[in-house]
Amino acid sequence: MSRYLLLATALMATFLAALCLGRIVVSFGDLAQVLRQGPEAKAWFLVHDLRLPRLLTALGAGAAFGLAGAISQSLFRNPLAAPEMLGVTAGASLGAVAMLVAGANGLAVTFGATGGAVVATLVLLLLAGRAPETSRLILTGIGISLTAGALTGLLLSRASDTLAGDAMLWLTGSLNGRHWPQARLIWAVLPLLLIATALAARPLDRMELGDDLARSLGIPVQAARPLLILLAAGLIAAGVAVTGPVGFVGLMAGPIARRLANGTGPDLIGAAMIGALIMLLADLLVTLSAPLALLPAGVFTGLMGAPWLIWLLWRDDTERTAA
Amino acid sequence: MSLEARNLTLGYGGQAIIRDLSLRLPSATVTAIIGPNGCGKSTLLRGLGRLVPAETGQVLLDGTDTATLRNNAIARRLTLLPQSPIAPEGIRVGELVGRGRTPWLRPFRPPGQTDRDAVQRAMQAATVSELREARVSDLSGGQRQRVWIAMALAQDTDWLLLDEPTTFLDLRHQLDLLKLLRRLNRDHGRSIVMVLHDISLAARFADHLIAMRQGEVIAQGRPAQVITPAVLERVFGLHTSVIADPLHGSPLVLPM
Repeated sequence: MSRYLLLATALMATFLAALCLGRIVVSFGDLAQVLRQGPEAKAWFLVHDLRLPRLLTALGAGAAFGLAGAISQSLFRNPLAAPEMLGVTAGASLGAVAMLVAGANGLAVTFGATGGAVVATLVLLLLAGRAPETSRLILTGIGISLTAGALTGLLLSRASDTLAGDAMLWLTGSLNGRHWPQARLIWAVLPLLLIATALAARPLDRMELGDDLARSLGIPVQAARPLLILLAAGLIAAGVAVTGPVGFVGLMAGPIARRLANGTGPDLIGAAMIGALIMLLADLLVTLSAPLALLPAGVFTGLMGAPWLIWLLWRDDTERTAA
Repeated sequence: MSLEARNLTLGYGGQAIIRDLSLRLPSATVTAIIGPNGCGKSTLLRGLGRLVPAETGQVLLDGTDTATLRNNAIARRLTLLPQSPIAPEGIRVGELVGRGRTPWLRPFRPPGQTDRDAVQRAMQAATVSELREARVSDLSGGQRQRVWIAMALAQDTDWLLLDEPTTFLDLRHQLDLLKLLRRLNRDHGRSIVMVLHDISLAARFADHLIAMRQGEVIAQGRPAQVITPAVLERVFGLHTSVIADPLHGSPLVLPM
């Protein structure tokens, strides 16, 4: 329980720091003024119109990626499984790139990504069958990823340089230019997805024991698995639709949460919180480096998370050697 | 307490491995299923545990067709430990054993005192109490297998089905494990059904033997009735001599 308190504190601190820091620093006094005076406050535009929706988007998408990653890792019984393996990310990317190279932007891109994710999820469930085995699921997901990736490449190669450039930037995953429409969208669907996950994911830790054992324990594996795949796909789709495919968040959050849970199995709440924290930290780094260039958050998630994961593995290893 | 197969046909993807098999398993007994590779003994075990659905026929648990029972209703009375289960990444022993309580837990309630007691008893019976805080991945093969047994025991079922529980264990750990299973039967009245490869160990540790070949039961009964040169010839296609084990009196197989 105390680890959730710790994570919540870290989340709030990072959120507050990201709200204040940037090229223009907002003091706590300015923040208080925004809270008191509303649109009259001098920092209103910066805080309310620019930073707040961006941070709320980061928080929601990060939680969705972290949760989707943790679900995938339990379903595939592989601590290094990434939600990208389901093929939904590639499907969403294809949908978004199709919109971008057609010259659309803003919410049209978001809806393109959602449509692509939905199609990819349907194809995954149709091809992998009603009660998919893990290996079949992974292969189908990879197949979808490769096909969607090839089509995305085709679209990019036929597009003008400017549009292809926009699309490439989107494909790194970023929070730049995300405003209230994206924030509203993710927070409109995320609560529903979180509640559904809380209900459906209860047997997930036991499903890690393999089908035979889980069923011997009375878990209806064949019904639970397609439902969990659907939820993971929905979470990925929601996140990718608003931020683009920010890499590594889903891959890192699950294993880190599992380590913090200290041998009690997968920790979905922790994974969601850590996913959100990684996104917020990545965006804070984006903002702090802004004088140089407004880099996509996806660059930082990779640069940050990978060393942490390596450190955790290393620490675990030395602990074991010492014992 | 009874477990019975009636005209049972089992298979995977339309290909029948067991056809029209009828069998009554004695309760509060250690039963071993023996037979050559691919004879359907694991499939039969999985069918008895409803991990393979019956294509035709029935599996009756206390007289009720298991196909009509709810998942939890079966899981509270019967459990099956597969051949080489894999523990979740980084999990500790106490936590893994606790998962055996799954069918007894009420939705959205944490485990209660009954569950903690059952886990403690299971760990004591399987002699893994001192390993509670250890990570399963750090254990030896023999310890790990005892942890899995503890998890199955925590489930508090009358029937314990085990698929080749001694695989990958050296002889000493095989003996330890089989003695543990005997003790569970004697002290706790558990009905144990296991698939075993080693005929002589099966003959020594089981009260009841079932010999299978190509999806059929060739012989069943007390070890002395089943372990005979004639049965072994039919089941394994082997010429053997059977003598009484000078130490334990159980039949000892000497392949020619």
